[in-house]
Amino acid sequence: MAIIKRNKDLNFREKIYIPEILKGLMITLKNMFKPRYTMQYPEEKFTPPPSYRGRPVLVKEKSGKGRCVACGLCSRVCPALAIEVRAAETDMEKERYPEKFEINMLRCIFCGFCEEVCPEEAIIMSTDYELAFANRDAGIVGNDPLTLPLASLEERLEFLRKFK
Amino acid sequence: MREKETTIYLGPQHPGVTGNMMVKLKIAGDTVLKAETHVGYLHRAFEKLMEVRSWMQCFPIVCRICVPEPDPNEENLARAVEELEGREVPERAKYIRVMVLELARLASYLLWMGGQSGSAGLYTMPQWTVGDRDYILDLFEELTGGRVYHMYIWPGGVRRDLPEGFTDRVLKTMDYLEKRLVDYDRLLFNNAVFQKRAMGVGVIPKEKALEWGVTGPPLRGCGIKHDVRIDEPYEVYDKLNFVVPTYEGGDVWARALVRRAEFEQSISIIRQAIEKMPAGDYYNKVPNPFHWRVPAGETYVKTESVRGEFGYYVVSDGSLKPRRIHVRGPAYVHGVSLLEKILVGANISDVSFIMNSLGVCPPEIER
Repeated sequence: MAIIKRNKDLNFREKIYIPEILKGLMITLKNMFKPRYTMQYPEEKFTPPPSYRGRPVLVKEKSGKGRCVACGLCSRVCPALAIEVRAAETDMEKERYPEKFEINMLRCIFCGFCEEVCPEEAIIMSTDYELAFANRDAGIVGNDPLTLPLASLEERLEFLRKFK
Repeated sequence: MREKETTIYLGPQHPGVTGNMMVKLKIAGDTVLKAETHVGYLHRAFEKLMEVRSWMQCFPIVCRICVPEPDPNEENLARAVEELEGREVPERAKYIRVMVLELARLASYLLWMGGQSGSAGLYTMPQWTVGDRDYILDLFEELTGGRVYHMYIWPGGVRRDLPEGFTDRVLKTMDYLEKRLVDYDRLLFNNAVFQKRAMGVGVIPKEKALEWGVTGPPLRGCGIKHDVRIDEPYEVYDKLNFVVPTYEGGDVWARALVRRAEFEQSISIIRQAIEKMPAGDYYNKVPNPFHWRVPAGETYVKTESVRGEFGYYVVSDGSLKPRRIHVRGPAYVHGVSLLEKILVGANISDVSFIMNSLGVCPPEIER
């Protein structure tokens, strides 16, 4: 441990301050040429790792059909009570689909529990982190804007298969 | 001139520490005659909320109890549930948990260094440490998916296994932090201004420290060796080599030295944990969380956090939900009762300085 205990009183060299200020300015000068911590955000986008828990989204199959079968497990497990699902039925092969699927992004805490319980891999956490909205109504996201095509979510699905 | 007595309010918006609390100070000139702490600005009723959530749903709640270091909370609740259930934890998960806990400790110490020097008027240090803390948060982001709230430690193990090449990146960050510690020494710990401010300020008397319930770095700064990691080792701390540094004095300076020495110890613990980490399973799966009943019983578990001893008293009545979860936070003791006692006679400009050195964390005081 390299701690030097200083005298409480300053000596003459420290008292006139100028050498000390120059010492400090030298460090400032050195740091100008060091790599930066920050990134120029809006121009330079950050790419999160696949483990990142961003905005929860629904997966749309290549055929254009949604994967969700409206079982309601996600809305049951959600600790923040942010998800609301209302099921409806069709005559097609996959009978059930969500007539209404709403995530209240004002309540969502990004825990990823919905994704953990989903039996169909239908709801997953995307890497979308730009979540600002202008009013409270825009914070409640419905069925259509939630559903994203499969191609954009492959990386996360791959990650889930490995670790879930 | 006779100095008039005045009452001033420090806070409630971030009185030198992260979070909202207020200290009502009765002062004469620059000297504090009486300090009264007022809390209640951050009460989120987590303890009550957990009584109406299932066991699994409590995990996203507990990590919000303390913002700078959320992992001891998850660890405590997970360990309490495991104790009630008698659930085994795989050996690998224990090592991963220790690694995560120590990484969180490092991140929290970096934030503390920034706060401590910031409240002394040295504003370069916060810029540096918050920047370096980001490297640890990057690691957390890759491992757990969240930068601040990890929700990573679960009953039965951890939520995900380590990604490929993750340990190398941790070791690289540790090398970097060790190198940066030299800069921190030059900037803060060898700084005449900081030393002059810190020595002899905010003294906790050694004979009173245990009586007042002080734990963690403030207690070790009084020269009393007490650390849950050594006294009642949890996870795999008994298999790792580390020392618990103590310093005499009980002032801000002694506490700063304790934390600085612990910073080095944490780096060494992480290196050992990575070296000794076995391969194998990382998660002993819990049953379906919708039907998961924890057997009736009660238990008290504790963890050493950066601020002191963090305890959870968990009562289960055998149902889907916990009957009661009581949190014993170190910041409650340090920030409410201890602060009132040691602020008397201090200079008014030292108030937030002392608060920082005690590790007062308002979100944890109120839950």
